[in-house]
Amino acid sequence: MLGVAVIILLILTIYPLLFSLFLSFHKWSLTKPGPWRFVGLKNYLSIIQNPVFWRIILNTFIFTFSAVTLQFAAGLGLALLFSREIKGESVLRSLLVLPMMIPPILVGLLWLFMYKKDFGIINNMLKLLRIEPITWLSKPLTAMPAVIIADTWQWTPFMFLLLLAGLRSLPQEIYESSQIDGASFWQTFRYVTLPLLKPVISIAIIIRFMDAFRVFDKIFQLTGGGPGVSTETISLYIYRNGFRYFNMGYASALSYFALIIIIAFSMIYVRVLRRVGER
Amino acid sequence: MNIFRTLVKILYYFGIAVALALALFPICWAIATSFKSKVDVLATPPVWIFRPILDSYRYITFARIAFPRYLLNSLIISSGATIIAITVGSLAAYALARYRFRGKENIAFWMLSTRMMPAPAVVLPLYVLMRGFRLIDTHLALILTNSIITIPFAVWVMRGFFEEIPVDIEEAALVDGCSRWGIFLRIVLPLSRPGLIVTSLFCMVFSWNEFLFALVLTSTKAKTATVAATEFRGWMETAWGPACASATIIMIPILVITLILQKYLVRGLTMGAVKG
Repeated sequence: MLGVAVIILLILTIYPLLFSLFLSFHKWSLTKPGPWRFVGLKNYLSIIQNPVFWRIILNTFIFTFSAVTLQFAAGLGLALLFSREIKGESVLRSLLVLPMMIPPILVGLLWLFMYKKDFGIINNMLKLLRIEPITWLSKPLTAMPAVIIADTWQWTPFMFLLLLAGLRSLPQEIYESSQIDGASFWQTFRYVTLPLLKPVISIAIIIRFMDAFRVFDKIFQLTGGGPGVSTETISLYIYRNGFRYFNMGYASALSYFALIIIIAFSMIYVRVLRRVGER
Repeated sequence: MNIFRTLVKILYYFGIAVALALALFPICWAIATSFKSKVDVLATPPVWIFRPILDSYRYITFARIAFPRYLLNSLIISSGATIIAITVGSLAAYALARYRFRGKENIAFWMLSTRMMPAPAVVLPLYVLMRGFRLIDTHLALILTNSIITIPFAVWVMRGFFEEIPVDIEEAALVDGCSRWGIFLRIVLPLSRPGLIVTSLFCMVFSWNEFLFALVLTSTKAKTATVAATEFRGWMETAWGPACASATIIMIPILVITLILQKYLVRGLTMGAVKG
């Protein structure tokens, strides 16, 4: 039973991994027919020496950190608003979480439309506040925040749902006793709620971190990585080298750099999961 | 004191209202745009009140872009990937939930890790593989590649559902002479029907939402709706009416499924790590 699943996944995941590894030591272009040429570590070396690569790594981390932080803050705020049962909650909650189920590529499309300079709704709203129209996606200074906002719109509901589930599972007696002890709202939050929520918080943050790190669709649609490389993240960079420049060896070597970072994350995640599982 | 409490209450509902508006506005705006005329779509300042027309929908159905066909492709592909994921995934999940063998957790976590790879890194070698088998631009290619997303998901979530079934029932059946397969087919599967439905719906959504694999592995025959929705970029400006119309059509089934899945969203999106 398990065997079939393992074999299918082996073919679909281990094969690409091994083939990428093989390609990463070769020079091979999809467009030019002919055999691959062994180049040793040349692809890896030229990646490290390329300043663009380091810029892309920096972009990826800026995007990931800011997006996840914003989503966590907004999600926690929302979850606290809902921490007491309110009327019509289930309807409200299912409306609030809609953004996270929409295809990321469409989230990109929706926001691209809203970010347009002249007829975009955002600039027209800002006009009411007497703010001049901004070309959100074509200036390096605003493009990255714009992309982060679109991602935050989509994924805040995820944080909200998880944190709310965590909040609801906390034992009520602790709150009663802390109230009797005269703890203020802030003290209860800081010394009771947060520590108890820690397992859920860590799972939520790591899952979002790993997903934000591999972001592709949304940025691809919004800016395509531009202007310049100011919003280009590691996934877009791999795509550009593989499918625009058809430089398969180079793109494969890049994938391996990404893989190393991802493996580090997933090891942390596995450790957290196991620790939570033991409780 | 009373005034203070009322104020807090007002602020509280105001907060929820703002959150709701922020969450729903982009979706509603796209839906509204899909019913506008060409002129109204690009109007500055934007038009809030207008007579809804179906021009954009007519355009994507009958003009150059045969959107219904791409929707059908999406449906075929996500159904295929879901069927594979449920069949293979539930068997594997059952093995992981009930059997004891060495390296079990490692296999489970390896499956999880397949989900963390950047999509372009995965699709690159798969493109070469599919080209080798002459499967480019076929439904099969996308069904198989989408299973990379759906199988690990199904394994992890179904495992959680199987583990919730009391072992006693299965042991009783075993004592009564039921085979392992019999137990699986006649007891475990029927008992976990809600789990199966939830898992399939999630797999459908993931596959339906997928973009990059479809972009790279298809061109015309097997193109999916998500890829088609991005192709309204014109020479000067995107045809926003048709783009929003196709986005609306893609979103509707997802919105319905989200409402159905409500209770299981946390569990699904964390692959069972948080039961919610």
